[in-house]
Amino acid sequence: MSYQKNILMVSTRLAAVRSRLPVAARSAKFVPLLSNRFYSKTTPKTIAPLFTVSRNTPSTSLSNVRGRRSYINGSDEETPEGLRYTEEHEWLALEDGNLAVIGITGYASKALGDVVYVELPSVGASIVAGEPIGAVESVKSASDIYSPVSGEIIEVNEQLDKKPGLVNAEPYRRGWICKILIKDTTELESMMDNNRYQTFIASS
Amino acid sequence: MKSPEARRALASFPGFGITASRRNKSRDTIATPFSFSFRRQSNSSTTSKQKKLYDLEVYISRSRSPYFNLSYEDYLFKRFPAYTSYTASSTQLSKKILFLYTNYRSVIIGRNQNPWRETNVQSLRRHNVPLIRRKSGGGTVLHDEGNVNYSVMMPGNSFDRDEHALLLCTALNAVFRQRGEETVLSVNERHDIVDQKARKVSGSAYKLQRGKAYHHGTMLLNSRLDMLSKLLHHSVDSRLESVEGPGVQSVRSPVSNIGISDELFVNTTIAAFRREYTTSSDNAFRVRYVDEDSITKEEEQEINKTIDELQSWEWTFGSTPKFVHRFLVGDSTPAVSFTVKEGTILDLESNLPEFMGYKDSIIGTAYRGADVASRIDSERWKQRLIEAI
Repeated sequence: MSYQKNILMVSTRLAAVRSRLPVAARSAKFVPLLSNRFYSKTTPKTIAPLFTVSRNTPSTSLSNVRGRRSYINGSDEETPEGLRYTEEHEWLALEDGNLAVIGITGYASKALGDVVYVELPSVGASIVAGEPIGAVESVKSASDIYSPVSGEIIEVNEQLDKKPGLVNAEPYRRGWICKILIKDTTELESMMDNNRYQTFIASS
Repeated sequence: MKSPEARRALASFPGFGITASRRNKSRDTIATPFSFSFRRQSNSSTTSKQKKLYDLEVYISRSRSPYFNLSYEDYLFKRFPAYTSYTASSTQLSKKILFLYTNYRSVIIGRNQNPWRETNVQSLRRHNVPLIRRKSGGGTVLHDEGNVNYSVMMPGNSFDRDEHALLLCTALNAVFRQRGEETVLSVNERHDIVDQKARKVSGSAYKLQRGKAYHHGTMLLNSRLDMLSKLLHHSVDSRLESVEGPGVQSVRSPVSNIGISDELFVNTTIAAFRREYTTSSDNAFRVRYVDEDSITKEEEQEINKTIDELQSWEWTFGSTPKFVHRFLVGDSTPAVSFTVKEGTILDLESNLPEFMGYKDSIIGTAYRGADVASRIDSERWKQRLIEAI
């Protein structure tokens, strides 16, 4: 009886502790913050599943505690290295030298709120840098997205039709918006790298 | 819940300036009937913060045409300067535009909505009410001459969803107090203005572009609310049709008029904006009246282009997100369903002989009643499709 009570105490305490951890540590296999006093009494394997949280999916145990899946506090808080950024909060990743993948940053998607619809550009359209390539709707607001480069749109992320929330949950992974075949790589030089973008966000 | 002052401090985030406290709230556009959310009382906005001044321009439209008014609004927004970090100037005041307009009876849907789902297309035709898709997001509203619309354009880094709604609430509440009426307005979590009985009197929608943004909303003064149920889709028998697909869905709310005259509302609004955003010594301030006759030739060209776009079928109906439209018979069995994308029929599913033979000729046509009806033989279905599509 008291054994079960201890498990319950540990599990709720774990949830409370983990919700205060920085995101990166939440997905750690082992949370070393409990005092030995609790842990030594309750070592059985039933505790183990609580620790195994995949980095890519929102934690189901946490969502049970809060009662709701929280897309905004997803796993992409930090801006990845190796991407280029614009002052309009778009990111660009370069594949194979001249294929640019475009999306909006986690900062932007958090500021916008829950995205309910993404207006995608048409495949084959010819784009000039600075032109709008679609829009994102969230909380009654339609926000235009701009292309940082010129080129031709060769692919759009069809997943966003059914799951616009990917822009919030995984802005750098499955929430990408479109892929553009660039003609002129010099346009990339005027974009910011990760450090400059972080400075830009912090200062403005 | 953070106080409006704290929220406004948070709202000075760059670029989007969204209330950070809102981020984890539930989705605004899920259809929950009569959502009674937490209501925020309006607060005097000039008490504890330094007044931010703007170069305020006020426009009032004399036209009742929703096409002209929405196009003029779009024109003002195109002309509005984009305040990006490299154009920021600390010496010159940023611009703020207030545009007030009234439309004759029309149904206005949000940019990413599905008109067949949100409105009763048949009923709109019967009552001769135009359907217009606007460029901002949000849900479906019915405009008529008892409703005055306000549109506020602001620099991108001072975008705030509630600031102007709260300002209006403060100003209007003073008017109600003076008149001895018991109406008290406040802004709810969905950024609507509601009265003391949680009935919606104003809905809002927003548009954000590089460096600038606008917030526009309705204000129900003396509107014919009975027409809502006839024209918007809640009344159509869901045993007859169903629409499935992504796109923004409207959230139904009980509504109410606030019962003051157009003139009083307009004057109160302009006075409130002047008090809040300009210094009292600004004698050069004037209200500009616009209509179809008072605009210049160059303006007219641009505005007419937008009017044409708003009136086109491609923008109004053709730009609907991909959806499946099912027509049901008898005991809600699906008789025929059309899969439509970008206004063109992608696929047709039916077990009725009236459609099966013509499947090839129907797929690929525009999703317009007359076009589809001309490709089938059955008189009964021709009639039904012409009315409903």
